[in-house]
Amino acid sequence: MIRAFDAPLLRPLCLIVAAAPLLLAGCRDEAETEGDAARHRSPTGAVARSEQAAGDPEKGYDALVNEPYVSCGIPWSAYSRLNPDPGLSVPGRTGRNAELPYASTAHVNADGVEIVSGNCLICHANRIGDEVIVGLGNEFADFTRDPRRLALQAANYVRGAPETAAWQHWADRVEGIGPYVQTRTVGVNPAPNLTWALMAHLDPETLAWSQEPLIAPPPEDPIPISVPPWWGMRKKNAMFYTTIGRGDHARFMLLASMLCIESPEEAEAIAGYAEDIRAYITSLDAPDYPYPVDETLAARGAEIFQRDCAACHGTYGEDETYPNLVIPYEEVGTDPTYAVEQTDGSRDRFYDWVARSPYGDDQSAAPAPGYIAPPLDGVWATAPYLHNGSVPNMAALLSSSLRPTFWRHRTDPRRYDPEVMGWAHEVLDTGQEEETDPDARRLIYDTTLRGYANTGHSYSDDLDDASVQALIEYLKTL
Amino acid sequence: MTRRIPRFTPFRAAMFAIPAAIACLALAVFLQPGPSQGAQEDDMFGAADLQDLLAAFEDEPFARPSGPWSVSLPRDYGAHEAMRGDTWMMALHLEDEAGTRIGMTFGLVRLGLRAQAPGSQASPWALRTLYRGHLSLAEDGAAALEAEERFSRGAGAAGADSPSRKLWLDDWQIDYGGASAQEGLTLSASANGLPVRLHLSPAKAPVAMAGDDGAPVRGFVIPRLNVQGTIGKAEAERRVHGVAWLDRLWGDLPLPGGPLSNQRLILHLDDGTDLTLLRTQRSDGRGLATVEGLAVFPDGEALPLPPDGPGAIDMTATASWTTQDGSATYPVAWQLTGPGLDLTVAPMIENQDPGFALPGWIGAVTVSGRHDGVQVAGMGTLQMTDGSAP
Ligand code: HEC
Ligand code: HEC
Repeated sequence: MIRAFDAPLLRPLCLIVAAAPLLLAGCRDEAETEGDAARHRSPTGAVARSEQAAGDPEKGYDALVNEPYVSCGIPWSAYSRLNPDPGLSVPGRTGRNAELPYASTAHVNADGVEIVSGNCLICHANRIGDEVIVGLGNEFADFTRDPRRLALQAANYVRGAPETAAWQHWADRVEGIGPYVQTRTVGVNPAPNLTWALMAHLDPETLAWSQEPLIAPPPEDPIPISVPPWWGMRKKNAMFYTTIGRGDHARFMLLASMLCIESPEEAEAIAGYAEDIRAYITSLDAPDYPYPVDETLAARGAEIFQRDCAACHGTYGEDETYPNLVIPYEEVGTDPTYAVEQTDGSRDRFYDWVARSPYGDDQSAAPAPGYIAPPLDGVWATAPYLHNGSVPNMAALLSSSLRPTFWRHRTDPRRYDPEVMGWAHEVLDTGQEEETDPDARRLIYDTTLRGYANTGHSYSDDLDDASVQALIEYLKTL
Repeated sequence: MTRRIPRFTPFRAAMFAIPAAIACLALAVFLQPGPSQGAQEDDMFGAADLQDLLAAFEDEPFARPSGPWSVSLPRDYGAHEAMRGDTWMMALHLEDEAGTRIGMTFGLVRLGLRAQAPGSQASPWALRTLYRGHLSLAEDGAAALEAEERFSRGAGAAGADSPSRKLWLDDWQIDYGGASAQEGLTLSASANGLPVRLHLSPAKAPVAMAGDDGAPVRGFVIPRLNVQGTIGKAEAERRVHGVAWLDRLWGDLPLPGGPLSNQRLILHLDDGTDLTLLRTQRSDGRGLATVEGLAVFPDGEALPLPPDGPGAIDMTATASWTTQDGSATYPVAWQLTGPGLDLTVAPMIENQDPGFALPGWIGAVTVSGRHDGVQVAGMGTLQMTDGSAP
């Protein structure tokens, strides 16, 4: 009998190509002691608006899908052997990029080697049906694997000195971040930890890479993050769940392109189109709900929303408002780990790094000890919910007794369930500890793991079923 | 390495990397004129030259493995000439009638340079295919191995013929089931005039190395074949018997060179378990090393060995051997540990540098230790692509 090993070995490559960027991070200022904590913090409550430079959204989109802001990756000749399938594309891709999947970008490096690297869309685009929605967080990416193994695998077709040098540059970076970016479950994102790990290896002023960390790296286990939709930035006065991203958003978000950075000049060149990318991001509208809506029911739901939700999430339609409120993590009750660790002093060295780097200054950023109540535009598309993606659908978000302790996405094919507003999933009896098969284990969302809890946000628990139905119907219209 | 570990699939990387490593070993030699240059070779062993030379052929429209596939024999013993390359590699672990152990490897590589347009009548002398073969024999107690490698540009002197089920390079020949032959493979070859004639019959089913997943390389292994035959000229002919492992790959094979070093082990344990492990690391010594592999139990059940997690195997070098000219150091002895597994691997002869065109160490090893609580022993083959990484 013949057994084929079934795994699609090449898929993970796209991801790793990706092992890009990251993002998050920190804030201003440079002191490293407790005394200075106030410089790295914001209060909970309303986030004030800060002035942002204007940019050209059209140029921004072109830069987003064509510019090599992540400047290292796999030589094309090796990449194309491993990934011959052009995959899904998005409009406006030029040159070689037109032949590549939308989350990969090609450029020719200084040695004349054509390189394929990951772009922002690895994490910031996702497919609904056959359509790629730019700006929708990717809630299906697999960050559970060690990217260092994928980097070695990619080297099997790397040949010749210039290609080898290019691959080594990328592999060195992947080696540096590898231990810090492996999530416990498929779908959640390690981006903040990835950013911090890069900072540990990069001199903030010269942006020179050191194979040995220059400051203490973050803990290895990344806190799981669900990628927020970019269209929320139209309303948000600060970036990221804890509103850590303040000051000049355009520069700060370029931390997400830092994987391969080699010099302040390179960072400046990228900053040259960052304002355009930001302008593109803030020009995005949420996609419309693609299924029928019961208008009468939705109208009833609107009243409930107005009464129970609008104070935090704002109002929609004619009379649009958005309060930009950070709710203390104790109050909202969702998994506190992420907000606690950003504000307990344990990440301050990275905030100092940002302040000294071209990515920020003393005005840049400061997290608040809580989570932003996000704009709910297009919320139908952003399941699973909460900052850690722990709740698979809206029905479970609104009635916390329905939230599964252990669950996994149904994929192949993935299916959107309009009834409950979310991706079809399967509820499991046991968690990761009981599962010995690593490939099955990585698919389990286990809310008993640190950072993965599905508690809190029980604002609608007292509603009766009919009211919940009405509320869901209304949320479809946002 | 117990089968109580449920089946999972992380052999994905190895599936690809093992073929890659094998192909590197096999092809390494191809395009280097003349004998080994040992000390002059730097770590990249002229990969740049090679790159130049092959660049001319890079865009040739060879077919890529695609679509659903499962192993079909004897068809898949034969060449896939629409693809860029084919490799056949056997690791044989034998014993003569006096009980002397003999380790042997035999390899044949076909590398297409120009894709054949259907119906075209190119000159038989046009350079369109390269063949390379090697045979190495290591006998317990000997000072060094007998090794020979051969090159050919095909054109009749080397080739593959599906109807008659033959592969050949000069008088070296694999017959894989022609009308008159028995089931399995018959190998006739020689090392420096020492003739070898062996029949190999599969004792376990083939295990496919890749399915329809878009991998550039496809193939299978037969983890255990029973071997009977003779080694030596008429008057000194010895009957030998034992077991063999077969790797069979085709597709867009990686060329020699590149930034990785590999060590590959193939072990036949006397409890009937077969094991292959591939250790991969950057040639510059930096970064993580990975170990992946495949275990095949006596009943043929195949278990991919993942690079990490509960089934992972640790592979630690315990001794090394440096070439006389000091140009390369090879880790020739290993300790393997994993769930239910604790094995010591030692070289049968330390100097098993075959002196082929590109540096490498291809040799016989002995193995002893414990598997699932039972004392085991066996023979094996260790292949190393270059001597730069510790
Ligand atoms: C590896 C995945 C990943 C990549 C690649 C990535 N991001 Fe993000 N991005 C995230 C995650 C996760 C968050 C949410 C982090 C948080 O809020 O704490 C985020 C948040 C953001 C936000 C803030 C959204 C909001 O509502 O607060 C912006 C803006 C952003 N990213 C821009 C970019 C840009 C521009 C790029 C490419 C240069 C990029 N990202 C690449 C994962 C990624
Ligand atoms: C006291 C303020 C507050 C009220 C009231 C409130 N929310 Fe929230 N909501 C939040 C905060 C804060 C979060 C982010 C929590 C997190 O991610 O951990 C959130 C998250 C959400 C999310 C998840 C969004 C996503 O994409 O992950 C949804 C949906 C939501 N709220 C809907 C509602 C609805 C419907 C109501 C009314 C029944 C409501 N909220 C009432 C503060 C509030």
